[in-house]
Amino acid sequence: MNRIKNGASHNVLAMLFDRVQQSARLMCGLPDYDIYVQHLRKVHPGQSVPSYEMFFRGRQEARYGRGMARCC
Amino acid sequence: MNGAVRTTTWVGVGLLGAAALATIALQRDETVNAAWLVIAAVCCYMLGYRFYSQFIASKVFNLDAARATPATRMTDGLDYVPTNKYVLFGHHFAAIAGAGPLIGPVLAAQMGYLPGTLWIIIGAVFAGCVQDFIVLVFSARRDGESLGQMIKNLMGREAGIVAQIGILAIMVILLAVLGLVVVKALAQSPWGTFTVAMTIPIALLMGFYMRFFRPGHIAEISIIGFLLLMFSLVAGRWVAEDPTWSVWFSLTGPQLAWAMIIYGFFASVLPVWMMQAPRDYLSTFLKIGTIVGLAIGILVTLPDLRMPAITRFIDGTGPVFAGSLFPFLFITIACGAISGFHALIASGTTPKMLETEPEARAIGYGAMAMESFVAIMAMTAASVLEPGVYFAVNSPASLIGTTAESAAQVISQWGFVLTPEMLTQTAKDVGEATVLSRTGGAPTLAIGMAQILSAAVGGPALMAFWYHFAILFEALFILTTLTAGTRVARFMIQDLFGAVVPALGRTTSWAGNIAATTLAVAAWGYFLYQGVVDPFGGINSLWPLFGIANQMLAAIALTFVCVAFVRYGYTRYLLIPATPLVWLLICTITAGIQKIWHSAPSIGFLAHADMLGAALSEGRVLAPASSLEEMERLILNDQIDAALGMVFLTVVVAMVGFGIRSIMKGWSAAPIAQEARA
Repeated sequence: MNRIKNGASHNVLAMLFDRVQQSARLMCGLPDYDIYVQHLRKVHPGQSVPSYEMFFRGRQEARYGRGMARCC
Repeated sequence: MNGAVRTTTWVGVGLLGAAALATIALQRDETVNAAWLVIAAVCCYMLGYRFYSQFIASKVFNLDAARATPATRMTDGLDYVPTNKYVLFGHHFAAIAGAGPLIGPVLAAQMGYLPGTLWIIIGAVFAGCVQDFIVLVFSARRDGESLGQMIKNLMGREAGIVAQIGILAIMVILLAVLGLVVVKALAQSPWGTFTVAMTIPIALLMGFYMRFFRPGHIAEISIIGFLLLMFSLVAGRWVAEDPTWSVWFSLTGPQLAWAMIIYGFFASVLPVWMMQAPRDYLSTFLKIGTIVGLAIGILVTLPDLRMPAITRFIDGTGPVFAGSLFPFLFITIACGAISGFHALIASGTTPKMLETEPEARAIGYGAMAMESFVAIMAMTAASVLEPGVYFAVNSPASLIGTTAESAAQVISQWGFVLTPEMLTQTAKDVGEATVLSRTGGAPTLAIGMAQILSAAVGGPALMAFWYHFAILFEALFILTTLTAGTRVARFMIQDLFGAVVPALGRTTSWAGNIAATTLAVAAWGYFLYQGVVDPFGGINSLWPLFGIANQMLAAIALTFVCVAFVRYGYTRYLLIPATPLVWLLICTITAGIQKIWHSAPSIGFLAHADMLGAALSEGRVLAPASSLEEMERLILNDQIDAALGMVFLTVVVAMVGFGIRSIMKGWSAAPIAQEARA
């Protein structure tokens, strides 16, 4: 993943791109992988970190598995 | 900004909004520009957001950035993640925005643009935005619980079960009506049918690509999918112009209904990565893009509204849907003013991602204001059409006949200027054989959007392209909802009936899944098919039933909010949720009673059944039936519709009963000091 990281050295445009990408992914139910990995490392250090591929599959199943209560 | 400047600004916004409202309400002889609609709406949303939502946020709830949200307390990196306010706003808006706010206003335009516009604006500011915002706050303070869980906890298990039955019933009628919108838009339209059919192989291709070739590269595959979609949109014209292929893709209503039923079954039993997920990516991005495009189109072209402010059809004799302004306007436009579905979203994923509590205001109240603006755009798109053309597109064939001449004659008698040439020219412009009786709202919206967008980009040459783009956008979106909704209904059936029939409840067994899916598809498929063969075009009688169901859900959510206000110690502010609740109850119950028992056969299901029954006993066959057996089937349809209406009424009344019971219990007891469970 060539995600642009948030950081002081990056300009506003890069941050904006980052946010738009994050929004677009979230709109189809995909949370931020990097945040998830950070969380795992910090809170469950012993646990193995799933690959992006596995993470993606799991999230897909979580979002659509039981259908979505979609607004009309 | 210092105080004086700030005050002056808000007085200015107030005056501008008042001037815009006065212009759209009082202008009678000249056409009104769409700019006034936009200004009136935006000023009202700004005032509502600045003052009313601020009051609720600080005075009522005392929203506090220092109080930890579920996202910070229960971070798991997946569902519970503190998320940037703007990112979360986008997510929440994408989840609440659907086809509803685009269709309801189009149908309501038969009464003129004014009544619908006022209800959209006032409803959003005092009902819809308030509901979304408050449900979001309560859910965030209760660890992100869903509406169903909160109802169960606060109002008891029975209330939870009744609410579940209500939600299942509304899913069934919602899916049937949305399916009907697609059938009406695609019947005898080879261009549209081909393009929409192509979304199936495109979605499959995307699904396999994303599963095995480039897992998780959503942007990349969505762009590929979009390009393929645009290619099939262009290819649709070649199909329509080819004598052999056009026959293959010219389907009748009943054929399309069966195609959708079969599609709905398979799409919802296939693994989600194959069909459901790729469809969702495409339709989500296309929806956001189209909404932004339409907004830019309206702001750039600032079209004049041709529809009068008020038409004679406020008396209930309108051809689009039967029934008078009160109560039917208020159930026809559900999403856009207030939508019960949003309560499910606001208590779903969004509350688990709030970074700080005060941000619930911008996300809950703000996103609904934006959704309401989408409804204003739909009203604009319907009103830029020549009114005569609008009625030709939206009236059933049983009223206006099947030729341009007969339609022009009937509609001219209603007092709207219309010549057969205008109709054939419109059909030619949008690349269709005919635009007559394309009810359901989508084609009207598509013609309006095509007019606006082609005025902005491409001119008349691109009008047919824009028309089919709009149809594709709506059909794609609705088919995605159909797939997702069938799955929701299937699991609800398994949850609800699993206790009674254990075999049905096993969500891991194929037999149980197939049986429950079949039940779900059969339920909405029944109403869809019934609507397709209905002499009034289906939308006429089924849309009000859907509107009743949708407002019923909002009434359930607001009943819960009222109970929560009393139980959590906000009783002195009870009027905030109670006012919209009472209004919704009045509208929903009146409309429900009228749809069942009204003496006019065009409105009341039972009166219609009686009329058919009387003819049947004399051995007469009434259109559209061609045999006495068909007459019997139509009578059965009416009786089932009436029974469904009674289910909705019963659910509403029962929920209000549960609500009153809980309030009585809470009134004497001390309020639960803090709603948060932690």
